Amino acid sequence: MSPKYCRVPGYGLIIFGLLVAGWLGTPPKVARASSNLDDSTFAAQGDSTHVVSSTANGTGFGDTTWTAPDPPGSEDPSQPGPRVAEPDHDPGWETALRTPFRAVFFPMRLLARGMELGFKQFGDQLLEPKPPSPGVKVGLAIYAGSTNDVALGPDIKARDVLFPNSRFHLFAGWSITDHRRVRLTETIADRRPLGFRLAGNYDLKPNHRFYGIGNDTPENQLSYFRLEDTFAEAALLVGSKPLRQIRFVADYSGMNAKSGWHGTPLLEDVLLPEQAPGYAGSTFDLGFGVTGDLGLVNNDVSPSLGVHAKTELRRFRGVRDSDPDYDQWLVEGRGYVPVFAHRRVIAVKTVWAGVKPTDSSPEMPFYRLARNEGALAFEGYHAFRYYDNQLAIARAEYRWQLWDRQDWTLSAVALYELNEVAPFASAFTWDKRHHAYGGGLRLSLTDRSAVRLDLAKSTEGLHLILSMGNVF
Amino acid sequence: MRRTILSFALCSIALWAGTSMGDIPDRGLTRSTWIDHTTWIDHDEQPIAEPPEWQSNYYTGIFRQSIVDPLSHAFDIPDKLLLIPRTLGAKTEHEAVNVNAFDEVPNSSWFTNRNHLKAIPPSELAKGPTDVVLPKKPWTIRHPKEGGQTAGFQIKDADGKKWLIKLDPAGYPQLVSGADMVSRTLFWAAGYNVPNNQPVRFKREDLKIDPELLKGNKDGEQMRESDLTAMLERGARFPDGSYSALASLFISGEAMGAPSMQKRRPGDTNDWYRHDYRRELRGMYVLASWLNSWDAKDQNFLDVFVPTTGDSLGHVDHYVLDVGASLGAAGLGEREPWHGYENTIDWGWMARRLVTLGFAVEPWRHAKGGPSIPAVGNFESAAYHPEQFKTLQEQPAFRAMKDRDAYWGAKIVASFSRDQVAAAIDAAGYDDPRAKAYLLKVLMERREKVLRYYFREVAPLDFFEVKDGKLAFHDLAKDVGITGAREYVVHIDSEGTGPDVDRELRIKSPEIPLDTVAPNATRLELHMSIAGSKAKPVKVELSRSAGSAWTVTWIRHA
Repeated sequence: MSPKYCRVPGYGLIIFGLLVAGWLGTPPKVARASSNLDDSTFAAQGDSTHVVSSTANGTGFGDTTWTAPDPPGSEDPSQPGPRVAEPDHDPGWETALRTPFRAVFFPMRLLARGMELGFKQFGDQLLEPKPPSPGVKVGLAIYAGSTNDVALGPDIKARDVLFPNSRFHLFAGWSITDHRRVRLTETIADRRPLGFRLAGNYDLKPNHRFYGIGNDTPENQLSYFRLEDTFAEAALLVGSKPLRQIRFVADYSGMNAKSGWHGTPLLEDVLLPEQAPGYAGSTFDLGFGVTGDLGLVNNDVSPSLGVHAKTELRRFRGVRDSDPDYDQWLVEGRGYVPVFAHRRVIAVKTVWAGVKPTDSSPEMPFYRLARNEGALAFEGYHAFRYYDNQLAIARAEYRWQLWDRQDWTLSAVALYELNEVAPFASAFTWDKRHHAYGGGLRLSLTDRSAVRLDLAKSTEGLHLILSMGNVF
Repeated sequence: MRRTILSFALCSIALWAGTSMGDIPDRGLTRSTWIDHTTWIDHDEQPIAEPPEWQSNYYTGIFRQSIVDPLSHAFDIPDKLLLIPRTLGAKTEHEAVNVNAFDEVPNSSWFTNRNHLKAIPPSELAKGPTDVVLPKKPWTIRHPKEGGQTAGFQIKDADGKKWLIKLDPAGYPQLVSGADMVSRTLFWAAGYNVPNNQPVRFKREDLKIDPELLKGNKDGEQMRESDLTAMLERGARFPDGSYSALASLFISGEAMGAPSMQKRRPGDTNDWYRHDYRRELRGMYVLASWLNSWDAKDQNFLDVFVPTTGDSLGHVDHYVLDVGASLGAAGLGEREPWHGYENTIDWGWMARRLVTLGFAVEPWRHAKGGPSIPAVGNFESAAYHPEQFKTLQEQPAFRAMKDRDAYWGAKIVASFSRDQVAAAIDAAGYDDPRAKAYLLKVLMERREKVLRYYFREVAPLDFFEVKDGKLAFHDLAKDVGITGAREYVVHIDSEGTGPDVDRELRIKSPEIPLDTVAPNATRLELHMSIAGSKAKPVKVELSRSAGSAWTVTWIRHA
C-alpha cells in the first residue's frame, strides 16, 4: 500500500483522537471531581464551623472591621471616565482557525437555530402543558409508519363538546405512498367508574407486506398487496383506571385484500392462491367480547415493581355465509422486579395471541390471522413478517434510568426476545423459535404514555422499531 | 504516515507560535473614551438612548444550553486542536476582560466592590441596598404574576408603590421568601445589584382586586375573587392564618428584560464586553455554589434602563433579580435532591449511568437534607463539593470561568464573617429558631469547603501594599483561619540601574523587604507561591522611578 493511501486515515485518526482526548480531557471546570480535602497544607483550627480571623496586624480579611489597603473611592460610573479594557473580540488567529469549521458546520448551526425557534414557539406546551380545556382544537398532525410512510393530515380534538366529560379525537392522513387512514375515538365519562367509548378506524394501505403463512416462510418470499380495513368498536368501560378496567365490546370488521401498488413484487406474482387464502376477496364480521387490564404496579407508566395482566377475548361471526366465524384472543402478562433500586428494573413480558375458526367456518382469509404488528411486534423483524393462527412472544429486558425529571423518565433498555407463530398451540416448539437481542431507549411521559425506540438484531438483520402510546 | 505526523507537528508549532505572538494589532477604538487598566471604575453608565426592549427567550435558552451548547462543545474541533499549544504553554483561553491591573473587577453598572474591600457592618448588611421598606396595607392587586412556579401577584400598596408579591409554597412558610432574603442579602453585600425584597405576612382582608382586573383589563388579564382564593390556597400560612410571602419592590426605571449570560445587549453602546467574558458573572459561580443558587439563569436577572438626563438619555443597570431558588428551597417546596448537583439534561451523568448499567451512584443520593424544618427545606453540607455545583442549565459565563475568576469569587465568599452570615439570616426573620441555627451551621460549613478548595487551587495571597520599603500582603487562608503560619516562596526578577536580580526567597511572614532584595532595581516581577503547595502562584509587578517609593503596578493570580 503506498503512503498516499495512509495519509487520509492518518489525518482522520489524529483528528478523531484529538476529539476523544479533548472530550475526555477537557471536562467543564464545574464538573471536576474534588480531591481529598485533608491536604497537609491546611491545618484545621478548632471547630470547623467557627472560623478564626486574625493577623499580625489585628484586622484581618474576613473580620467585620476589615478594610483593604487603598480601597477605591466612590466615583460615579455615569461621569465621563475611562473603561478598564478595550471592547473584546476574538483574536485574529482564532478567527482564522475557526472560520473553516464554522463554514463546514454552518448547515448544522442553521438546523440548531431552526430547532431553537421551534422550541421558542412550542416550548411552553411541551414543558408546561396546561390542563386540556373544553372546546374544539383543529391542527395538523404527522404520522410516520415507516421512513417512507409519512402522512400529514388534519387532527381534531374536542373536549366536553357533545357530552360532558367527553373526549373526541379525529385524525385523517394520506401518506406519500398512498396510505390512507382515518381514526376516530369518542370517549364519554373517561376516568370515571363507568364510561363509554366509540372508536372507528379506516385504513387503506396499498403496499402491505406478506411473506406467506407459517413460522418458516423465507425472507425472500416478500410480496406486497393492498389491504383495506374498516373497523368500528363500541365499548362499555367499567373501572376508572385503564390499568384496572374491564371493557365490554361490540365490533364490526370489514377487510379486503387486492392487488397493490407502491411495492413490488405483488403478491399474485410470488405466491400461489392456496398460500394466500382469501386474497382478492372481502370479508365482513360482527363481533363481541370482553377485554380487560389488571395491573398491580407501583407506577402506571414506568413501573418498577408489580405485575400486569391483559386479556382480550372476542367472538366474530360473519355477516354473510362466506365470511369466517372465529374466536380471537390475546393474553399478556408483564412482570417487573427492581434490581436493588427502582431505577434498575428487570421487566418480562409474555404474549399469546391467536384466532380459532369454528368448525363450520369458511376458510380464514390470511389477513385475519395473527401477525406480528403493533402491540404484537417481533423485535428484530419487519412488521407483518409472520402470519399464522397463533403467535407467542416472550421478552426479558433490563431497564435502567438515564434521566428522570418532572415525571418524564428516560431509560436505557437491553432486551432479549423469543417469538414464534404456529397453526395451533401444540405446534409451538423450542427448536423453531426466532430470537432477537438488542437495546433501545424508553421515554415515559406525564400523560401515562411512553415512547420506545428499539434496535434489535435477529437472523434477518438489524431492525429499528419506534412505538408510542401504551407500550411495554 | 511519517509525512502525516510531520505535517501535523508543523501545524501545531505554527498554532502555538501564532497564539504566543498575540493579537492582530487593534484597528483603534471608535468610541470617544479612553482605556485605563488601573481604573477602579469602569465608566459604562454614559448617557445613551434607550436600547430596544429585548430579552433572551426562556425556552430557547433551555434548548440551547441543554442540547445545542453541550453538543457544540463536544464537537468543537478548534478547541481540541488548541489543546496542543496550550499544553506547550501558549495562552489560548479567553480570560475575563473587565479586570483591572490589580486583578479586581472595577465598579460598573453590573457590580460594586463592597464587602471584600471594606467589610459591611452586620447591622448594615441585614438592611441590604436601602432602608427597610415594607408595602403598606391595604394592597390592591393589579396583575397576576407571570412566569415562574410560585404563585403571586403585582400590587400597588397604600403609598402607591408597586410590588411583586410571591407566595411561599403551601406547607412551607418562609421557605422561598427566607432563602431569597438570605441569598439576596449576601449577593448585595458581595457587590451585585439586587431589588429591595422583604419577607411579608398578610391576611386575606388586606387584599382587594383592582376593578379593572376584576372585569378584565386591556392586557386580557382577569382575576375574580374565586381565582384569588384558588391562588391563595397554593400559598403557605402561619399558625395565625396569615400568608407567608416575599415582597419585591419594583425597580425604578424601564425594565428591558433579562440579559443574556453570554451576549451583549443589542443597542446598548455601553455594553462593551461579552457577558461570559465578565469576571463578575464568571466568579458568581462560586457564590452561587456556596448558596446553592441552582436556578441561576438569564431570566433571574433583569436589565433596567435608568434615565439620567432631562432628554431621556440614560444607562442600563443590571440586577440579580430572583434568588429564591437557593439554599434548600424550590418554587413548589423543598428543592429536589439533584438540584445543584446535575443539570436538567446532564449528558455527563447520563453517559455514566449508561455505561455502568445504572449502577453509578450520584453524590446527591448520599446527601441527607438535614432535620425536617419547613422553612429550610433540603439543604446540607456533608455531600457538598463546591466545584461540582451545577445549575439547571449550564450557564455560559460559569462554563467560561477560569481559575483566577474562581479565586476572585472565593475571595468574596471568604470575606463574609460568621456574624455577617448570621445577620443575613436574621434579615429573613425566621420564626423557627431551628432554621436560623441550622442555616448558619450549614452555610459556614459550606463556606469552609469553598475556601479549602479554591484557596488550594490558587495561592490566596492578596491585598499587596508597599509600606516602609516592604511589600506587605495578606494570606487570605491564614486570615480566615483555615491554615496556620506557613512559608512563601518568592521568585524575583528585577530590572534597574544595577545588575539584574534573579533569585528565590523563602519567607515566613507576609512581607518582602524590597530594598534589601533589589536595592538598585526600578522594576520588579515577583512570582509568589506557597511552599510545598501546588496552588498556582501569584504574579506581582512593581515599579519605581529614581528616588521614589515602589508602587504595585500589576497583580495576577494563577
